[in-house]
Amino acid sequence: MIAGVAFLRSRTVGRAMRAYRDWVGRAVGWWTIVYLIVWLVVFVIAGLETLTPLAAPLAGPRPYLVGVLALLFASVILARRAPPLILDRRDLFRLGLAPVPPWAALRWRFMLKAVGACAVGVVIGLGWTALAPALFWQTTPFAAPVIGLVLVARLCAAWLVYAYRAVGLRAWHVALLGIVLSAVPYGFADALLGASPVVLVAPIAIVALGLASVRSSLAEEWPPRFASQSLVLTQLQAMRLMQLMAGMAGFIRQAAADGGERRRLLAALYDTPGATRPNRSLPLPAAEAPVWRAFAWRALTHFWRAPWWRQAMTLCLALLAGGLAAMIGAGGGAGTLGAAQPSGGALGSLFGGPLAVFAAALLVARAGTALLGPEFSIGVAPVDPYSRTLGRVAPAAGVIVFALLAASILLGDAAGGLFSGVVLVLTVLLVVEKYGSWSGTGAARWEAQLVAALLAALPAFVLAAFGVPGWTFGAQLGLLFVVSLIGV
Amino acid sequence: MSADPAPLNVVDLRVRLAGVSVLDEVTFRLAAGEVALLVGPNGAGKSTLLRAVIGLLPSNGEVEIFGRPNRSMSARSKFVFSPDDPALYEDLTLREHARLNAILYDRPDADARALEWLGAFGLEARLDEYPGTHSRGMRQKLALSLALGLELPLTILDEPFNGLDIASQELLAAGLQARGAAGGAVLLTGHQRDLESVLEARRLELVDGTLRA
Repeated sequence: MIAGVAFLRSRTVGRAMRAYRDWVGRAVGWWTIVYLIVWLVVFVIAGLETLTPLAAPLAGPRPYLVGVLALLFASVILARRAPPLILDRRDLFRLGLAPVPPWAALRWRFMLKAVGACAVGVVIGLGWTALAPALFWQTTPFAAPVIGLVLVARLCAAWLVYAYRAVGLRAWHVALLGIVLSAVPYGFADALLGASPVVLVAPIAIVALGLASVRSSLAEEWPPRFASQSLVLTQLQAMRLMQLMAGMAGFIRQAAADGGERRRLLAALYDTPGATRPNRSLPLPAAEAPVWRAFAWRALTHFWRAPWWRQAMTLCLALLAGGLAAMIGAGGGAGTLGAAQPSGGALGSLFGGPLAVFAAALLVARAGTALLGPEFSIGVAPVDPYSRTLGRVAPAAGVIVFALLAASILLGDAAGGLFSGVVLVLTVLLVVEKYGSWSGTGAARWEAQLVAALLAALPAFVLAAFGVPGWTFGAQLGLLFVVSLIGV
Repeated sequence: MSADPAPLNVVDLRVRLAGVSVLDEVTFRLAAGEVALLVGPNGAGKSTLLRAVIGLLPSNGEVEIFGRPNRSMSARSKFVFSPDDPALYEDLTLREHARLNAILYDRPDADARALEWLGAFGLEARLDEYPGTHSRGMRQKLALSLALGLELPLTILDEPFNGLDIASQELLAAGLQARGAAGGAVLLTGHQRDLESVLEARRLELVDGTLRA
């Protein structure tokens, strides 16, 4: 039975490595990688040669090191419960359900992750070894293996806490031992401040204990939620990979996919509400409602179902954008929006000028896109783009204009300043929505936001350059009219 | 002298996912030689029930396979499961899949039987191809050949008839019937209208997460 796992790995690992080698060779080029590595080595050596010992060593690093190392293990105990390593769907159904000891099925992936963690630790340790003589006047030849082993021990601790569901000493013993060994003499911290080979004993012992414990935790049965969480994490990984590849290939819309699916999968991972049905819903629009209201409802629902911290951030940004737009209006007035010589008070002076208009437009674009809701490709649907734009823009415009109004009242600004701010906000939102939809980049990308900000600030830049900043508001109004007519 | 334990004994099985009850008080028993067809509308919980039975989903209640807890290794050596969407290695050929399966379950003769099934399904000429290049139906045939080739005491199949052509459906139905006649227990899901006409099976109806007799 265990031979079956060996048979599988002997066939698949070699093929996967060859496929990966070929893919890297085609996509990046091995000589390119060698070239980059050579330069990396050159830079590292050059960097090391610039290191000169401090006049006096930095004092008292040990408590901080103990704190960091202890926190490394304590975080394992406090972390949310998801498996630190998983089986993919094929392994889960073929190996996970077969009468194979779970450890045999998981060993390959565990070893891969452990080697990865160890490699990261060794690199960090080598960096420490290079820096320690200059900073602390200490030679630390064993820092690299010790940090490598500490990270492997942390992986073991994470698995045990997960496997035994964080209950009792059986789950925590490696993590607790890690915290203790961080502080004791000749423990992990001392390995980063001394040259005695005795410091290797503690990390080797904890790794041996950790590996034995992991193995015994997988002797007979899988942890209860391992299979279902593995399936969810596999989907999340696949989604992340697809987004990465889509982004690399230039398919930006796919890369910036709707985060709703990710949220749903995360809820399923932790078995929290939201996995099968939404936590929050808005009243449905009437069936005979105009199309734009359906889009507005879609955008608002998207915002309403986002995590509370994201909602708060979006609203803060929208309020900030509205406030800045109001200050621009207050600084320039209706007729001189973006004027080179703003006529307002101190705030107006601070925020006046075409560059300030551009900054405000960019902030409005950034804040507004979070309220536009998901992208919608009209495709063959009988939807006219004006309805789509109106529906998507309406909630964002409502929030930002409200903030603008409030800020205008607070600033004691005249109605002219308010109008110029509203025109700017509407122009930016219309452009970012239309450009994002038309180009396929999506409004959430910087590209669409920069285009919108530049276009909205264009009258201010051009007319200021020609010495007629007083025409800016009229030009801005004209621009808004033209943009609203564009049917994309 | 006590009676032999049933291939599958499910008592008061409950599954809650994210606070929502998906299965409630499901109790049934599958005897040796019995073929049971689990039917129900979409979303009734058929696949969830199968996954809870084999221990892929956390659940409350009691599930025993030949008297052993469903997640124990001894239980896993008694059953084979084939999901509705075949779980196959894209970098193993059909022939290698059959060999791997036989080794994993420690049943050397399952290799030849899986190849026989593949031949019966018309895939004899494609044994050395990767399944990734194959159609949905062909992949389903490979997954079913692996499961049926094992001839384990309990065979659990999720929507096995999906994607199969008519001839293959009849072949599969005959194979499952033969499996039951040989003393093996079979539990499968399906909702094709004509399934019950080709497969003589005990009917278990699942509605809204509850089993109806």
